Amino acid sequence: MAEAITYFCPACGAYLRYDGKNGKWVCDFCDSQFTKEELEQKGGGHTHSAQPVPDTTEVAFSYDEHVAESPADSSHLRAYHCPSCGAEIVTDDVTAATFCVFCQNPTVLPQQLSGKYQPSAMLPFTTDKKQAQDAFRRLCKGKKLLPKGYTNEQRLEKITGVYVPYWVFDCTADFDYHATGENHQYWSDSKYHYVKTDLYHIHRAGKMDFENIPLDASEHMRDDLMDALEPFDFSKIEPFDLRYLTGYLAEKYTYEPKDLFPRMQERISHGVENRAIQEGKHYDNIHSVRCHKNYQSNQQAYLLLPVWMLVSEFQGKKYLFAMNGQTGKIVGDLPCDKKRAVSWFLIIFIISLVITEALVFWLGGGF
Amino acid sequence: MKRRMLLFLTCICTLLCCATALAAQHVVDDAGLFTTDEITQLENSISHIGDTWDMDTLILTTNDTDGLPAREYGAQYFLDGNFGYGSTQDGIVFVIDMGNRDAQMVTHGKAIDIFTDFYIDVIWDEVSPYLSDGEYYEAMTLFLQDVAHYCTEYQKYLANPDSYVSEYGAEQSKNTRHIFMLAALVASLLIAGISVFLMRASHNNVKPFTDGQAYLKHNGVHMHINQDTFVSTHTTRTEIPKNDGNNDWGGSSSTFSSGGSRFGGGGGKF
Repeated sequence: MAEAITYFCPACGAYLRYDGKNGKWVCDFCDSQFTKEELEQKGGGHTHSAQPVPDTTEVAFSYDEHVAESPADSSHLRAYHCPSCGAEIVTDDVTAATFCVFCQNPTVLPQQLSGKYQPSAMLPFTTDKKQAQDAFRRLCKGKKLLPKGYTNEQRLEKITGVYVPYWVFDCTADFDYHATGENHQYWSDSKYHYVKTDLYHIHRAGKMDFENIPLDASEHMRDDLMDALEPFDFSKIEPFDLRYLTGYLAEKYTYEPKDLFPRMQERISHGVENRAIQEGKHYDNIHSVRCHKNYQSNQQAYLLLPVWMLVSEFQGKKYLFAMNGQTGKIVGDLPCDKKRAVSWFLIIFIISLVITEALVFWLGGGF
Repeated sequence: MKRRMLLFLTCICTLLCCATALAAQHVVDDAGLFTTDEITQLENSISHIGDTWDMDTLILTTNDTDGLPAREYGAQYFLDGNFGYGSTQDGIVFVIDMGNRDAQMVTHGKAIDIFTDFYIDVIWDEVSPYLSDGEYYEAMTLFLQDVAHYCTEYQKYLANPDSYVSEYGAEQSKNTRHIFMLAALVASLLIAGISVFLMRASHNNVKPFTDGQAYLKHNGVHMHINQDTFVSTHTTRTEIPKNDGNNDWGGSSSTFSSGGSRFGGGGGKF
């Protein structure tokens, strides 16, 4: 049984979307704005359940020719009825919030985030699409090698707010750190420079407690990009509420905590070593590091975190732009126009050649 | 009276012959490369150089150096004949060893300072093609012209060592200029390459936010062992490089000793 929800305006009955910048639900038709409390008081935010639809396989079958290459592929598809226009919305099996392709109605698919997939908490968006578009323009500003027209309005419109599933780990790391430390003394006399090197065996052992290590739990998201979007301010965390999802895309997790445990170790491993050596005596040079670490994580929380995303394709390669939906931090990967790169190389080369040759001539007194 | 006149003429002739014989010692053509006229011409040039710049010049040709290398042969001949002007016995010898087809210039006294590596090479570059073609007289004429030229230039240099621009200095400047121009080209390539690389690198700001320490709990580090054990110590020393002096005339590096005297020079096969 597949169900879809849309939140409607208590004033005019049109659909509502959550505006992260103002922290309110807004109606784009009558310009009404509602806080969470107002929505509850006015009886708005009623869920509008969709008609039950036959299960996944049947819908997938109807798309067999165009979408699904094999029964294995079709099993990833889910179908819903739009609560607004009744059209059929087909999504993959990890989408938890989306838009109706026919009426652009923001739709939440609650069963995707229920049961074991129910997030324990979330960070709602505190930025809006315009801020994300401005951030994208800012990122592109001054980039001489960017293909012409890369920041056009069509592309900017494609920037989408996504609630990305994260597992947030708490972890304890036991460590036993051994290394060789060197301290140097330098002096000279009239004939020689001298270097005195004192060697020490460094031994540090103990325990470090880590908290709130966020690891994106979606196979669709690029790990390095998601890591670069940090930090998130977890003090602003809110209990999970479906209503925050309206107007955004949302996904459920595809990785279990056990799948992410090795990545978690990798993310804090250098930190353990770097922090261990900050304790005690200081050294000029450290080498021959051996560090045995043992990690234990007894607590992982499933959270939805807000990210603005834009995926562009240039010359067959995908480029990603992302903005932290809470802090506004931007990270991205922009394409490079090879022709422009060559032109700039030649321009800079000729200018520097003229300047350096003139300098050589001038400093050499014309030789 | 006639007898006296005859005796006087005989004496004059003998003296002239002796003088000619003495003068002929500066061109010793054992290999028979020159005609008598050529020898006379060379001798004249040599005596002019000697008179003008106090530089004794010898030209030796031989088929057999008694097993000595050409330059040793020249040095030996110079010492045995007690050649050279002044107390420092300033002189230059050009030895043509036809047996080994080797030609060497040997310098002594002030000639070592005048005919530095650079000028020996310049002279050799001019002279050697003529030697290879068998034009020995032309080669030696050129050699003597060069000797005269560099003696003149050296006098100018000594008169005003600071402002004089020698051929060596000019060549050094030219070389330096070429090096600088090449460096400017390489620098420009690097500047352009690095600039475009940095422009490209600015397209990607995807860097991990932390090495992990940002997730450490407040007071989350609990140390059980914090030990630093002294292992050993060692001291290394490196010599401070000395600054070598430099002058604008250049220097002679290929000096050798023969018969207790220091000689310079250079040459090669032809």
